[in-house]
Amino acid sequence: MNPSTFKEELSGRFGWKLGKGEQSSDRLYLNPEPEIFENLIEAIFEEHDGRLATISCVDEEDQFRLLYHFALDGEGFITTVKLPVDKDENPSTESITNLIPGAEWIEREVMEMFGIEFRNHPAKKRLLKAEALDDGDFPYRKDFDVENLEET
Amino acid sequence: MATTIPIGPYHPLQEEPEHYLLTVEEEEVIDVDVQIGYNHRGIEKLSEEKTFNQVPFLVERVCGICSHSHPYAYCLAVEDCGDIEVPERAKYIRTLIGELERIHSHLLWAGLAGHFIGYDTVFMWAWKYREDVLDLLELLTGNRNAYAMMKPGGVQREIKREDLEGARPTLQTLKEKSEMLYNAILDDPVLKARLEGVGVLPEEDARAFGALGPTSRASGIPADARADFPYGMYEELDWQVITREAGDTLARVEVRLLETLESIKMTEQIIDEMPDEGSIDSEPENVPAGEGIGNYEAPRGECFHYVQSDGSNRPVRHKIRAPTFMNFPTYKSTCVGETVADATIILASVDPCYSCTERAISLKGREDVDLLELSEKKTADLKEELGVNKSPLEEVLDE
Repeated sequence: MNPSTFKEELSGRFGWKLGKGEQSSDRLYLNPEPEIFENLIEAIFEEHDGRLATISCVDEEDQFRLLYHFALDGEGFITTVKLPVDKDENPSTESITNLIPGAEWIEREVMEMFGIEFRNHPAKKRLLKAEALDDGDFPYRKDFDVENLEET
Repeated sequence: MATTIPIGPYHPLQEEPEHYLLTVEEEEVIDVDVQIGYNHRGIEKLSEEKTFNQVPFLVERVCGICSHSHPYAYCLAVEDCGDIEVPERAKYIRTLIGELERIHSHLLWAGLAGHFIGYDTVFMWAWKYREDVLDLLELLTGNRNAYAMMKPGGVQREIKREDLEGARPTLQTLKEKSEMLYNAILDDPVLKARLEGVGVLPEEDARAFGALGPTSRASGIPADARADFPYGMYEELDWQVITREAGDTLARVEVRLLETLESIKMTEQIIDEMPDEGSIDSEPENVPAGEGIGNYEAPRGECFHYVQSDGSNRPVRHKIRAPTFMNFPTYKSTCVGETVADATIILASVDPCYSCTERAISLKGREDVDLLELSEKKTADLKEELGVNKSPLEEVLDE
């Protein structure tokens, strides 16, 4: 299987809701409608043995974008599922840790560094963030003020 | 009744700060919790302030042991983003350093594993032969760690044919000694008793946790970025992906030891086949707007880098995921139900990554420089500069 045939197979199931995205011989980017997101993740993980490599969070001007990178090791390509998250008071999205246990630490890192809540996450506690930072400090956001950090 | 045992963050058995909380009932571990972050330096954020050519020097410092892996994964991501070609000679050099790094990393782990279970002879042996690999890396790149060889589009420096040929005797010795070590470790009934059937990671758990590298290959998953996502010269080399079915600590030891031998084999092939002439850098002008992914098989598993560019000279976003981040949480599957005495070796058997300490080296040659002579010369130079001619003894006698 290659990114083209993989996308065709997914299109057969999810139709236009799979959205558009770039592709090359070993990369596939998908921008699905949020309503099919969980079913899509489940299909990639369970039916195609997609290994969740990591989640990259990108702080764009008006929203956050979560990039779920799945490596299909046997097929030799990486598919990235993009999910926008609104930048409001409490940005949040549904956790996938109950489906993929390996997502636990990845989601915790995004939670404390970007302040995006993963609803129904089993362990909402600190993993990496320094004790000197408050719960409301999100150091990887673009607007985080690094210059005025107090030394501890 | 349940008792909690705290280990760390500073503990003689650990080389880097991590805090484990073992919940035990008598000798049996029933729960483990981990607190990390003591080494968090915000490198992803720092990277956004560097230019594309500066980032390799930064990410080289993510880890002292994988100091070729992170820059390599980053360069693969940038090259994916900008469709940048890499000359063949540069690919050979990249692959050569990568495999030497794997050899010294696996030997380092073998030594530490021996140390963790109180078998310090293995520690002494493994680290003794690891020194030779570090010396070899110094010969080829100028540095024992942090080789500073990577740049997007190629490598920073040449490797001369005479240096390559000079590496052969060390590799030959290393091969013999690794085989000796391999046999000694696997023949030993005490080691077998300590490692066999201990800390089993079943294949389905390895998949669920997204385990990587030797940890997943020891559980029967044949995933290896060198074979699955071929980069460098791996398609041209004769080697195989090592897997084991058992999933226990012994299997993880076996996979790493056998990989060491594969890496030595590949290193020798590279020395045979690498062309002496040719470009080592395609000198890319800029990185266009877009995004790229680089996944590199580091000694501990896949290093994953994601780079987003807006067409300027700095990355907008640079996400780094080291293999231990995925491998470490497998303790939930491997530690629970085992005894306290086995917990440390199980936790160590995923080879959690250490931030290496610095080490002073002499650059002018190794055996033939007498440190005392150097020190005396330095003192003489200083005295000349200050206009002092007498030795301390002469001064005392004059008085």
